[in-house]
Amino acid sequence: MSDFSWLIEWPRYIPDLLPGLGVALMLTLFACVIGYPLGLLLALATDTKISVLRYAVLAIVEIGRGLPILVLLYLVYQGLPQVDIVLDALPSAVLVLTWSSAAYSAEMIRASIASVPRGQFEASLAVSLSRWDLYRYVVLPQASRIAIPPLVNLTITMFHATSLTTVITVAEIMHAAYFHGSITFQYMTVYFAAAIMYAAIAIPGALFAGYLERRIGSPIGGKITVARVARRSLSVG
Amino acid sequence: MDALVVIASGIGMTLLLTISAALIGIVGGAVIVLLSQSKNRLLQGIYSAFVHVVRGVPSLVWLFIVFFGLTQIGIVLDPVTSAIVTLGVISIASTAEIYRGGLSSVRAGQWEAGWALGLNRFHAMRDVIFPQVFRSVSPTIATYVIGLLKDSALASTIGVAEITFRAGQQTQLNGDGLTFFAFAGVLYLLLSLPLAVLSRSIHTRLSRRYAVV
Repeated sequence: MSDFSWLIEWPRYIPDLLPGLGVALMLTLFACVIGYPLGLLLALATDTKISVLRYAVLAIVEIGRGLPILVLLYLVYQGLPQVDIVLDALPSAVLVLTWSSAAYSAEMIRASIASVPRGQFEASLAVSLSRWDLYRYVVLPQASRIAIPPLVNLTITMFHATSLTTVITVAEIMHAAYFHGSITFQYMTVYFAAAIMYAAIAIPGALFAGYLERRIGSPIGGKITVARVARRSLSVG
Repeated sequence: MDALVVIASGIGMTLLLTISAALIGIVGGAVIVLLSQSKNRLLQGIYSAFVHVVRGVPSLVWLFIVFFGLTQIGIVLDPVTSAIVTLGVISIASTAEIYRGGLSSVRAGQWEAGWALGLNRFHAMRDVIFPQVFRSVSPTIATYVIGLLKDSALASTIGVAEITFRAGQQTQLNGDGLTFFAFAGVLYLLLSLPLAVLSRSIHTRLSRRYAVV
């Protein structure tokens, strides 16, 4: 039964999948808006002198990056009820995706901070900036040039990862696709429609990340440097 | 205890999926990346379309297209084959992009030196450029293979009896999902350690062999 009608008929399923797209976008938004600031905190806490905190950060990041997201989802959704923590599918999905995005972004942000030249730290020390000012005005603005393109890519990865939450019955795109596919048996048609939907967001996103990388991906942008911050704080003080 | 043994015996399948997909990617990616180096605009376009389309759609969607979707056009693949084909093709696209990054880091002088010695494009690529590319990208590829190890868990959704699938099965039989999935997680962490060590030793060996001073 060779059949290529799916090449023409896929748009029929788009309306059925649209509510799922909403859920997927919402999950992505949660994962990134909560996850990236957490990732920044984890990145800053990586080198802390408090060893308990350092090990905790290490565990959060390494488990978040080292385990398949599917395993994390099952662990939270099917495992935690055992210790009387019962979460619905949606909160479980938000928790896992946020954990994952925090862990991955922590690593990216840490690497971007490490790429800021040592002299920038020493110069800040020389003009006696406080630790807060050092990060706020010198280190993070420069690190962000390195970190932003991979973070845009990570956002696309997280959007893709929302598809996994179908295994714990979250009503996103793949869940809707499986439901409609199992009624009509037009699996190719419906999954093709789902693929188009993901690609319509992910491909422009990837192109945008590539553009950003060419545009701002070099370590020193020249605009924000210690000299400039020092001049500003001197004129204020 | 028996349940843990059942879960651990999924390691073989997890490794089979990971290693097959990695080999397909490492070889296939090296072929596909040549398209991106072509002077022909059409071939370059085909390369970038292939990479963007493959990477623009989640792996789970590709897996379902291959396993469920292809039946609609009369192609029926068993779960293991579907998983290897899907992960393999995704791995070709990702590995090709890694090679492309490596190729752009090889200095033009290396090409010119090859031509000066009378090598043609093919031989310069095979004997001068690619060995250097392999050396510079081997750590990135190793990281990617560790990613594949985690992606192989996707195969559990179509019933391949690897680690995650078995952990789910044992949870349904015995309850105690916390123990079983935590155990599965530990297995993944343990499996990624030797991969990291192996990659480091491959990298040092390649650096020693092909170091350009």
